[in-house]
Amino acid sequence: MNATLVEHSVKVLERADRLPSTSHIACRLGTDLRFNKGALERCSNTELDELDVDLLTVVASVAFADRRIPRRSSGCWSRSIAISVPVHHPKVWEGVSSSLASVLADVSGDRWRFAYRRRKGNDELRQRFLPKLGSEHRGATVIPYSGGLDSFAALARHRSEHGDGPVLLVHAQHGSRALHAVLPERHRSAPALAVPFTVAGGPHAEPSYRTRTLVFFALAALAWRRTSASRIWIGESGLGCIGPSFVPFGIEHPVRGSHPSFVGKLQDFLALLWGARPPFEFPHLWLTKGEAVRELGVSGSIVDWDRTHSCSRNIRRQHPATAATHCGLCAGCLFRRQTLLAAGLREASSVYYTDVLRDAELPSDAKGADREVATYAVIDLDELAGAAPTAAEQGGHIAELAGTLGRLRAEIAPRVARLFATHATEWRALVDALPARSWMRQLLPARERNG
Amino acid sequence: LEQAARRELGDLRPAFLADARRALASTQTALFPGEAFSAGLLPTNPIEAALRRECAALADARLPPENALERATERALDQRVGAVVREVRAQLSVDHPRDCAELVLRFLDARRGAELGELVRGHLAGEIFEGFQKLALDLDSDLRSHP
Repeated sequence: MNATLVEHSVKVLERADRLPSTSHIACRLGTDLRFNKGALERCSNTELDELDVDLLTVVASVAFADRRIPRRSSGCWSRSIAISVPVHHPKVWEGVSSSLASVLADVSGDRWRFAYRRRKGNDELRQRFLPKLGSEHRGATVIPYSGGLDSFAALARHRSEHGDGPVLLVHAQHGSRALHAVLPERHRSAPALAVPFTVAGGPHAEPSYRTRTLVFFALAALAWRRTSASRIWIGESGLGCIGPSFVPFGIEHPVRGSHPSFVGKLQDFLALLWGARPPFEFPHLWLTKGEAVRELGVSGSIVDWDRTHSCSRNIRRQHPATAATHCGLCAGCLFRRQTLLAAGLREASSVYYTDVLRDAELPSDAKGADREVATYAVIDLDELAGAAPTAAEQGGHIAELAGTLGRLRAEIAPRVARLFATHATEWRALVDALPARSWMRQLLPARERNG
Repeated sequence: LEQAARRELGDLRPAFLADARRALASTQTALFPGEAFSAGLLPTNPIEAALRRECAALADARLPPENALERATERALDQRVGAVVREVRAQLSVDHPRDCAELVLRFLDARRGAELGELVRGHLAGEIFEGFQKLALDLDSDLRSHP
């Protein structure tokens, strides 16, 4: 019998509010949620309206709850979360609440419930918000820019297809110096907007943080709305968008942060809120990352690709002696190796703590965590490849994509099959390029291990 | 595997199943019938999300609702069992890197032989399974008993 989930209750507090009872988790505006006025003021010539302020507050509150409330590693992975949040327009928010809960359930796998109360205090966010953009930025393409290969490829594609057409980058890094570290020199003049708040996740923040892309994409949509931009490009390649849903692991809700169905639900929610539907587009939905980068390489559109960052770990914290910027072991790193190999691009071994294309063994100082991360990464990519022969037969996933994209299933199924098959070919090429006695080969079934 | 499958079925709320049955009976569209399901009954775990997708895939199959529900549930369960197998493969590879290939093959054989359909039919007929209990897997003893 399905047991009832224990509901975690979060109360978002204005300065004047009293601390809630101990049964609630307090989230204080200005303390646990800090809005970066500087980031807003530096890039602003449009005043936020009350609904925008509410959206930022709600999204930041969701991020706080997602980071603060731990998941259980066994048993039930999902959580039930209730948030009480102060907004300027409680009636409007009550009207969109079920749509918001649907978006959040899709991306996080959790059950969300909201209670809205009228905001009492003055707006701390009533300030100029977006870059001092001239009118030439009307019609810009808004690109969430993480600094990885996918968003890099989206920006390069935009330059390739639209020349100097205006772009507006939305990024999670704080300060332009951090963005410049991952941004090719020729694109540094592009205006950029950083996520304008920080969330206190506590000493043991929940690492899954599945609502990360919700924060990112909601801000991109806000930028679209405020600049009269023409579109929002999500650069994630096809496998990154839909692959994890086809190949889930264990009790975890699959990563769906860039799945078209989640983005479609986010569009529906924002359309209800604003009366205008933000036009999210996926320029690389039917390409693998390797294909997208290779295509751009052939047309001479990629320069400075080696500034991008794909590693999900802080390897210098794990191994302070290393000068590498990438661990070389996580799924992000192995996917990068596969992509660059497919695109015919070479990268120095020194980028990686360990170079799987050169080293047969893991480094002698590799820790248990390194081995575990590496093992899961190899099996993750191998399982994606193993799903290729039956991907087009996954009726539920095909129906979901077809419904979201407004296409026939008969049109979607072969595209999905081709995407997975291309990934399998690229993965095979990476495995073939490994040293004969590579630790990675030992994790693969015999047929793949030996080529 | 049967234990994992029973646990997954136990995670399906009766109200969610009833809603799926009702949606299948009322929907005859080739597109994803999002509106056919109750807005207040969002999926709260992976098998419910999978079941809703599979119902959508069968919405225009013109099957009697009970047959469609059975098939959709079996397909959803198969996906969830697949997720368990992947997790077991990964965990075995971490914990028993030398034996993992053999153990994974044994596990895959077990999956092929699993009678998921029977479990599903039993559950839809009213048999009650326990939801999200921790799996009592003891891989070390399995290794000892099947060297």
